[in-house]
Order: sequence, then structure tokens, then C-alpha cells
Amino acid sequence: MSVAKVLPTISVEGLTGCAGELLVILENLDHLLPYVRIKSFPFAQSRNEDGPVDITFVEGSVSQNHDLEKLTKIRANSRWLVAVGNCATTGCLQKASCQQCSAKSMMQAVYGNDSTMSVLPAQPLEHYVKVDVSLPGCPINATQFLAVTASLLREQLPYITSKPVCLECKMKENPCVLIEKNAPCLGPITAAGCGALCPSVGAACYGCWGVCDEPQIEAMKIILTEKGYDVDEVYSRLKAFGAPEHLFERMNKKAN
Amino acid sequence: MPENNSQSNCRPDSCVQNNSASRACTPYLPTRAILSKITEMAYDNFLFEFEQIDPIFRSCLPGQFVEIWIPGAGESPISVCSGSVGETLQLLIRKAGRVTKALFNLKPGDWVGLRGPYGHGFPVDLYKGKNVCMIAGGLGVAPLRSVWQYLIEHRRDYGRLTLIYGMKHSDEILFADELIALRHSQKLELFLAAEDVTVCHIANLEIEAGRVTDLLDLAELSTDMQVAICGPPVMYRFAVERLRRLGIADENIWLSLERHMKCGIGKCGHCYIGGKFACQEGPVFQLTELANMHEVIEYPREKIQI
Amino acid sequence: MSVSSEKNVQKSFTLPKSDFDQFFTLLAQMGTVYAAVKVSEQSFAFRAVTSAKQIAFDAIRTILPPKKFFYPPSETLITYDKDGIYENEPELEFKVIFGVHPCDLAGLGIMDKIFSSGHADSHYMRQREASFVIGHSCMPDKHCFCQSMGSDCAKSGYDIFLTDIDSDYFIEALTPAGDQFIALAQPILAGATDKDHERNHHFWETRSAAFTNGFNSSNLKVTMEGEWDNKLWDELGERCLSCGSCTPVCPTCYCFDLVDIASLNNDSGSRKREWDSCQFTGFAKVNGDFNFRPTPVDRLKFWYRHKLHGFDDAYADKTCVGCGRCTVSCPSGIDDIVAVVKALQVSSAAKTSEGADA
Repeated sequence: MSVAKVLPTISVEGLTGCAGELLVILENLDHLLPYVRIKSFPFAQSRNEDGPVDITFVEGSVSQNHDLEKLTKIRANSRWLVAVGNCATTGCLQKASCQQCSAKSMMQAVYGNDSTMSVLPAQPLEHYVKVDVSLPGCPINATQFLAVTASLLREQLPYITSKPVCLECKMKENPCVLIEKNAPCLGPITAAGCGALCPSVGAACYGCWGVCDEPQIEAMKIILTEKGYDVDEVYSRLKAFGAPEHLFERMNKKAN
Repeated sequence: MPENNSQSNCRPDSCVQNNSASRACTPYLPTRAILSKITEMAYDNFLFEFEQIDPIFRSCLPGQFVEIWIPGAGESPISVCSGSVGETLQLLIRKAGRVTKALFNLKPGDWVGLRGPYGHGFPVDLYKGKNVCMIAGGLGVAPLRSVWQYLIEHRRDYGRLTLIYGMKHSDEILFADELIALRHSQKLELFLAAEDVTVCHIANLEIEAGRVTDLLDLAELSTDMQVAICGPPVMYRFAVERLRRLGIADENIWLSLERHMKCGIGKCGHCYIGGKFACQEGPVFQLTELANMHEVIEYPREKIQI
Repeated sequence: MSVSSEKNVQKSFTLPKSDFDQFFTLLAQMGTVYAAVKVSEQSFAFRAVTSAKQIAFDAIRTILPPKKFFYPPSETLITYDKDGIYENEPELEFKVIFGVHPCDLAGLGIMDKIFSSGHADSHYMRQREASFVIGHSCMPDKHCFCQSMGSDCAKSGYDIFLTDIDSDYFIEALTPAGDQFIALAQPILAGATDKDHERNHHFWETRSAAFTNGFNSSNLKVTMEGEWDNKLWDELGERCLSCGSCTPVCPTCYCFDLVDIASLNNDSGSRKREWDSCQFTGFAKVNGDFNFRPTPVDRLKFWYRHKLHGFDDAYADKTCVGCGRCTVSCPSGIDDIVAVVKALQVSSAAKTSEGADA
């Protein structure tokens, strides 16, 4: 009698987000299938199991009470918890919006006063639970996703760097849109990983992967204001993808 | 016009590293070694032993380092911690970074890659006929173990030997059994201190409450001593100040400096220190070499009050 | 000093520009030809070309220097499986690199030295060997200062060199490969006459006089050391984005990161290197998150020093070749090496005269 090899298990779950990450994972599932068993992936399959799992990939921010309940349960069941995509790693647009007005007023504006939804100010996963690996992206890069999975299957933590997008632009020998077009490119302070997608087609990087390691946000503000962008616009660009608040405090302090 | 021959004479099959005596073409090619034994030392520090190592590692000198590679995770520079290398190679490794953590998933029989040995170690030849004081802080005791083992192996070539070893907490003591044996053998004078001393779990080892610098006074160092230091960057400033006050000249003080030696062969640039490659010129530097170097925080430029 | 004044140059030839298409055909017979092409309003890049028409002969500088051909931004060094570890030796395409200016040839010379010394880097060397480099004269723009760095005259690093002398090219061969090519191209070349030599000489004289940018480079080490704490560095640091744009574009920046690529099946994978930059915050970090160069000022000074007077490495000399790429590639405008050096020199001179007064 042959004994079936016990494959490691993975789950893919979504909280509040656009399902972009789930799509990337779904598109690349055939690479993974020989090596893992999918325990739960409600976005892609109808039969899903609860219980302990080796790796859970979680997309989306915690923006509702049931997100939090779900996340707590996921954490308890998962040996490795991987936050995938910017909503999960930084809170992304949702968190940025919550920094401008209250979650409650937003809910009322969208769903009316009678809504019974219970909302929370959007937060990244690590605000509530321990996250083992954070993989930023909007959406995530498939190659990086597979590399992270390969590392975790070997019980190793992946090597994820947060060098700026400028490095990828130069590696691809793109003309610099910040210099040549005076475009409000956030490449210098944004984490690379996308392969400098936007600058490669001549568009400014809008920071969707979140900030790089120790972003020089004050210098970025100086450069952009010199190019004629007003400070409010610089702020809103920088904040859009959930750059941490303390960076802006630092920036304001310098300005005063 | 050069021959339109993109292949050099260095064929892939000649580059396979199975511990055969084949020629390595790329300097980034590790040789395989087999993990044979893991011994827990204290807390997150473990002594790893590797066998079936490439014969090149027998040339390891005290203070040199090797690059250990865990496939999939990456490489990490680790100091040699034994006085000589024979059939096996010992490395003391703390579970700290991503790569070293990956090492802890391995079990005896698994393979790793090794490159090296690299760098300039402590000048044990220059120490000949002289009194030598070794000052270790924390994990810095591992590279210095290679020094004391070497000096004791060649005991007759050296004068008075002193080992000063300081740590944060007395429970963190490494190589305790060996230190006990050393104290009994009287082959070297041993001074131990911990900032935090609880009842030592190792009997027969007196650990003073205090810092390495306090022991320097206790040890009654002579001004002609050669001093070998390895420890956390912050320790160097204080230790060097105290040594100077004790009348020890800068040219007799040797420091092993930690930088991120990624490639080990002077190419990747990560370990540049004041204009030198730590992986090539170092990791052990004579204090006088550091005097005019920037970014060497281990070199005390201004007088500090202790 | 001009290229032609080198005594060891055996033979010189001329090629009428009108015959360049035939010359190009011969080049293309050796391998893929790479040359500067226009990629945007202001930028050029070395790209594969199939016809001389695609070449931007007037390109002053490309975004990336030709180091990219021998030291690509990302390359696999080793692979492994359950049986062993192997050097990665991909099939190499023979590259014919046309139009490399003197500054970039000097840059290649420095890269050659770094990668060939000590533990020689076989990956770089192999790719370098599988190439034919054609140097090309140029006229400086306002950012060029190769003259100050002593790299305005090509001395090595090329197989043949073309100097633009109006209606013709003045051609010299330096290497055996260059000689072989010249022999092959003999039917379309003419031996250089005294008049041609004169024209060549005239070009280089004119060019030498055309530099508008530069400084006295004799005292760079002393200046850098003496001005290490100049407040100019803090001003530059305020503007520095730590984006690292200055390093990949530099013909002599060679720092890299090593990265493991695990495959999903447990037994195999590879290890590659990728360009890295000393301007990134994590570059000099060691275990325990201790950073030896924590601020942009620290990192910027580190880079400037390496460029202006070098390290005690295999190439223990200044590594700036004056190409001006960092100056035009810095989004903050802080890599104007000429302006920085001049400012430091002014401050240094002021100190000296103060000292003399006292």
C-alpha cells in the first residue's frame, strides 16, 4: 500500500480589500499545487476546512469587527501568518482615509444612518496580531509571492528588502520621470518590488508599495515643492498608501 | 578579434563541489560540509560542528572567518572559534538573524555550504615571546577562543597569558567547561565579570560583578602586553581608554571589528570601514591603523570619562 | 595628450563617414552590436542595434555606463541541487559595444582591476572577454569633467578607437583583437596620412580646450579629509533622498547584494547578485540593527570619498572618471561633484590662509 506524502497546508483569506492579492495567488496556484495542499481559499473554492494550517496568506485591512474575529482565529490556527498586499501590511488607502475623517462618518456617508455594520478604523494586521512575514504590493508581485512561499516551506524566513524604486528604475535603465518630466514621482521613498512598473511607462510612482526603509520624506517634500507641487498635494500623495503617521510628524517638525 | 567563444575552459562539471579537489572557478562557490553535531552553550548560542569539510579550512588561523551558507536562506560570516581546524570545523552561532535562524532548522546529516577562510586574524606570530592579554565581551569570546586555544597549543612560544571575559548576565557564559579546565590548568590567568551576577549555574567559576573595564585593573596587566580584543562596538571605546591609561601602547592593541562581510573577498562593498575592506584587511586591525579612519566608532577619538 | 600621441599605437587608419554602413556590417559579423540610442527627450542608453541609422552618434552620456554589459544589474552566480553546487555559466552572447567614450573606458579599466584582482570574479571576466569595445571621441557638455579626473584620453579598455575628424573617422587599434578587425576591414580603410594625423591632433586639442567644467584634482584627498566636517555636507544631506540613483549610473560603482532564490521543490535553487547602493540605509547595518552609516550625510560623504580619492582596495585611487552621470541623475541636484569640490576647496583654502595669517 502506498502512503500518500503529507503535503504542507496553506490557506488564503481576505479581510477588507479589493481581492487583488487573492487574484495574484489564484493566478499562480498551479505553481504551488504540486507542493502544498490548499486547506482554505474561499475566494477560489467552495469546500474549505477550518483548523491548523502551516501558512495562511491574509489580504486586506482590519476594518470591521468580523475582520478582527476572523484574523484572531487565523492567527491561532496558523504556524506562519503572511500579510499580503498593502492593505494587510500598512492599511493602505483605507487607513489613509480613516486618518482624514472618522470611520463612522465614512460609513454613514456611504451606507446611510440605518446601517447596522460595525466598523473599525482601518488598521494593518500587525496592529492586532503577530505577523511572521509582510509582503507589500498593490497588488503583490507573483515572483516574490512564490519566493516567500518557497522560503516558508523550507522553514526559512524570506529575504525581503525595502530598497527604493529608483534602484529598479536604474536597473531597467528608465529615464527618470522626476527629473525629465518633473512628474511627482515617489520612487525615491517607495519600496521596490514592482519592477518600477509606472516609471517604466513614463508615469510617476505613486507609492503603492508603501514606503521604503527609512524614507527621506523631508527631502522628498523639498524636491516636490521646488517642482511647484503644493505641500497639501505632497502630503496627500505621501499619505495615500498608508505611510506611517510618525513620518509626517517628523516632516512638520522640520518645517517649523 | 577574440575568439567568438563564450565558454571559457572552465566547464561546469569541473566546478562541481562535492569536496573533490576540483578547482573553484567562481569565488562565490561554496564547498559542501555536513552538519555533525549541535551543542547548546547558553541561551541562543549553539556550537555547530561540521565534518567532511574541504581541506582548505585546515589553514584557518585565529580570528579569521568563514562564510556559512544555508541554501535558500543565504550566507553569514562567522568567526572561526577553535585554535586549529582538523577533521571538523566548529562555529559558535547565535540565533539572531534570518540566516542563522535558518541554520537551526538543520539536523545532523544535513549539508551547508562553506567558503573561506577569509581575512586577517590576530597576529599570533607577532605575539611570539610576548605576554598576551585577550579581552572578550559577550559573543566576542568565540573568536578569542581560537586565539587562546592556539596560544595554549603552542604554549612554550608565549609569555604570560591573560583572558578577561565580560558578559551582561552570568548565565550567558560560553565555553564554561573549557574555562573551568583552563583555570585549573593554570595555563592562563582568567578573569570573569558580568554586569548582572546571579548564582552561577556553573560551579567553580568566580564571576565578578562589573564590566570588562573593571577587570582590567584587577588583572594587573603589564605595559608590554599584546592585547587582543573582541566584543560589541561600545565595549571597545571603554576598553581602549582604560588600556591606554594602563600604559599600553596603541600598536600593541588589536581589535576584531564587526562589519557586514557579505562576499568575504573584497568585492561587494558592504564591509568597507574607513576606506578598507574589513573582510580583506581585517576583521582584526591594529589600533594604530584605525587612528585616521572615519566611521570607526570603535576608536575613541575624544577623551571619555570613565 | 591625445590618443594619437601614444607612441605604442602601431598603425592608424581613416574611414570616410560615408562608408560607415559597411564598417557597421563588419562589426555586426562579430556579434550583436550595442550602441547609444535615444530613449527619451534627454536620455540615451546602450541598446542592441541592427543598423547604423539607429545609433545616436552625438549622445554625450547614456543612462547606464557600459559596465552593465559585464556586470549586469542582476545575475545568477551559482545554482545547486541535491547532488552538488555549480557555477552558473550561461551561454554568452558576443557583444560588440560601439561608441564608448574616454571616461567610460577609464571606468571599465577600474572595474577590470577590481574584478580581476585577488579572488578574481569569473562572472565579470568571462563577459568582459566575450566583447569587442569600440571607443569613440566626444565633445564635452557642461557637466563633463573627465579632464579634471585625468580620464579624458583613452589609454586602455578598448579594442579600436574612432576619432571623429569631420568627414572621416581616424581609427586606431590597441589590442590583437583590434588589429585582427582592422585587417578584416582593410578594404574600406585607408592608411592615415600626415594630414590625417594632423586633423586628429587638431580634434583633441580643440576638445581639450572645450571643457567648461572642472577643478584642480591634485589635492582631493587633503581637501576631503580637511573638510570632513564642513557644514556643506549637512546641507547636501538635508536634500539627499537616499534613493541611490548616483551609484548604478556610476561607471565605477560595483557594490552588490547577494540573494538566494529558493525554488518550491526543496532541493534546488540559485544564488544571484544584484546591484546594491551604499546610499541605502541598510547597506552598512550589522546584526542587532547597528548602523555604521545611519544618516544620509554619512552615506553621501562615504560615496564622495570613494569617488574622489578611493579606498585601500584593489584600485587604491580616485574612482570618479568625470562622466557627469551622477550630476544629471540626482533628483535633488546634490551630486554636482564639481560644485561640491570647488566649495570644499574654497573653504580649505580659506583655512590655510587663516593659518598663514596667524
